[in-house]
Amino acid sequence: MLMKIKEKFQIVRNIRFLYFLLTLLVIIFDIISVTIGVADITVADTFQIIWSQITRHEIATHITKGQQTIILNIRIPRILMAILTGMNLAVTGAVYQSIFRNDMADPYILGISSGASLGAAIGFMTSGFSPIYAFVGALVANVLVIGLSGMRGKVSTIRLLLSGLAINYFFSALLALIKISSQDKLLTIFTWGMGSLGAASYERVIILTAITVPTFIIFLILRKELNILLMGEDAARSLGLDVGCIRKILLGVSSILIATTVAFTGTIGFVGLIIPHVAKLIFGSNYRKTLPISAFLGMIFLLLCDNLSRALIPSGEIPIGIITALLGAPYFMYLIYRQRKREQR
Amino acid sequence: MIEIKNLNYQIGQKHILKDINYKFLQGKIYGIIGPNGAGKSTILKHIMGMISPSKSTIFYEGKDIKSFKVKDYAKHISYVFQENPRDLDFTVYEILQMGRYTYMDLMGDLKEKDETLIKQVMEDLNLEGIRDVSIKNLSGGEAQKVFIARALVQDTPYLLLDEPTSMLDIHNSVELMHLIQQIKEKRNLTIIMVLHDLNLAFGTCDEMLILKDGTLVISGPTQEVLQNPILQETYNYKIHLIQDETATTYIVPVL
Repeated sequence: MLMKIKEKFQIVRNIRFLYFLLTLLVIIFDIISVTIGVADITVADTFQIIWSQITRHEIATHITKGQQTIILNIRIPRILMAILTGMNLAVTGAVYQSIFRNDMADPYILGISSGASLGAAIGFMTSGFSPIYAFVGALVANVLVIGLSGMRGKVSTIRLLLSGLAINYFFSALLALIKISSQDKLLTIFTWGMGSLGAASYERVIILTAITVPTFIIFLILRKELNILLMGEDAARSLGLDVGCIRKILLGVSSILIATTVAFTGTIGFVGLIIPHVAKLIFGSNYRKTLPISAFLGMIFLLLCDNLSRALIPSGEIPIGIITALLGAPYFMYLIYRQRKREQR
Repeated sequence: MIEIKNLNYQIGQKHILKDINYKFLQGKIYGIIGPNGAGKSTILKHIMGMISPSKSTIFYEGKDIKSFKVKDYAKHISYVFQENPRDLDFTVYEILQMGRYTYMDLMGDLKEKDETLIKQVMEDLNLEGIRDVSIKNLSGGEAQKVFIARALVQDTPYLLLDEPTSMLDIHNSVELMHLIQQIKEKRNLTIIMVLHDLNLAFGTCDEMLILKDGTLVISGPTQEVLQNPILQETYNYKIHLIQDETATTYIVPVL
């Protein structure tokens, strides 16, 4: 079955054509997403609002100011936020999998997101700029993961997952403490703890873009190093890679990216685990392809999840983290099952 | 020349290597043999700088290897591991490209002369047919050849191999040893190999080093080492030397 899917995709030999197709898909999903929501606005009206905004034309009289605000100031920034978040989560997942040489490594599972989340909550409580607090939280979590699971050789999956579990528990407990001690802001922290794109704004989209674009360029430049890291520490060294130095750069840059994302959207799990995995399954291990394809698939996946979170319950919305967990956790179970099968062989 | 000076290495109370002194000269095939746990692979790891003792002990062309940048050192010495990752979905060609990592530009692209070199190595090792095959789908022998090819693509004067035949059957092992001899002739390489199989070692190497319990017990030209009675003592086992009609000597343990 898998081989068949793989063969089908290999028809798309021209990688540029593939990127073009994926871009097209992202655009189509954007258009679909903008028409979905709790507010009762027809598809035709939606497009008219956007069109009149672009061309500065008069708008039809039956469209209210409120409807315009919903489309322009709520749905569009939210879609942009979903794209950026999906891309960031998928890409950092891919990067972590190379750093730790393990398919199960992902900032969410390793507790890096929890660290960032706790940092952001502290920033939120003390009215500081939460991405910076989140960055410190992510760094602390990184140091803990490395300290607990070790880095030399192939990092054992069990040790990695256990380290992640412990770190997740610890930071989640601290986060719960903060929640309890801050009654007034409780609700905001709660929904954001489950992951939500509800608080999207143009300001946040601009800040996140300003972080996403340079970090992604750095990752693209380092894709050859990401490939070589997969060979193992000693092999990478024999090929001329200064492993320690590259790992520090990768972890630092990933921490900035994951911290900013988490500070704005909360912890949205499993995207960084599933998406790079699917990308590698179909297009191979080479980060030349894995990185951009993960970015595209991450965008599409999170848009899809966001639409589900808005459309599943007619009266409101489900935090997006619940949707990604519902889809991602079974996949995670499948990965563990597959590993067991492999070990038994 | 690679020179080892007073190399001592211990983990906790256990001495892994004791007072090793040796000079590897250019253009020869060296074989390092010895019983399990004698410290054979540890020597190679020291030469590669993967284990770095506090004292200066390894010198490449007279220079302490600690003074080399990782990137520069990879242009002088390449290394083939005993075990290589086989679960990754890289094509043979992608693996070989990694051998030119130190020559890649910022975006990871190679120059035409690098591509020509990769092509040349593929021809020499007969890998053109599997250029775009994933290493996941290769047999043990093919995969080993690919990783040797990657080391050759590094185009270094020294090539180190850690038990290259440990995962191979007799046929593939012998073929690999022939290949290593051919490569050495064609590229005028210096090869240092850790081997387990005494017959393969004696049949291929010009010089032998025999280690026991971390000490270098004998070293010298292969024929001399072969006749040395210490060989039997090293393995703590009775060994027969048998000659065939072509005057090749074989080592047979007495069962």
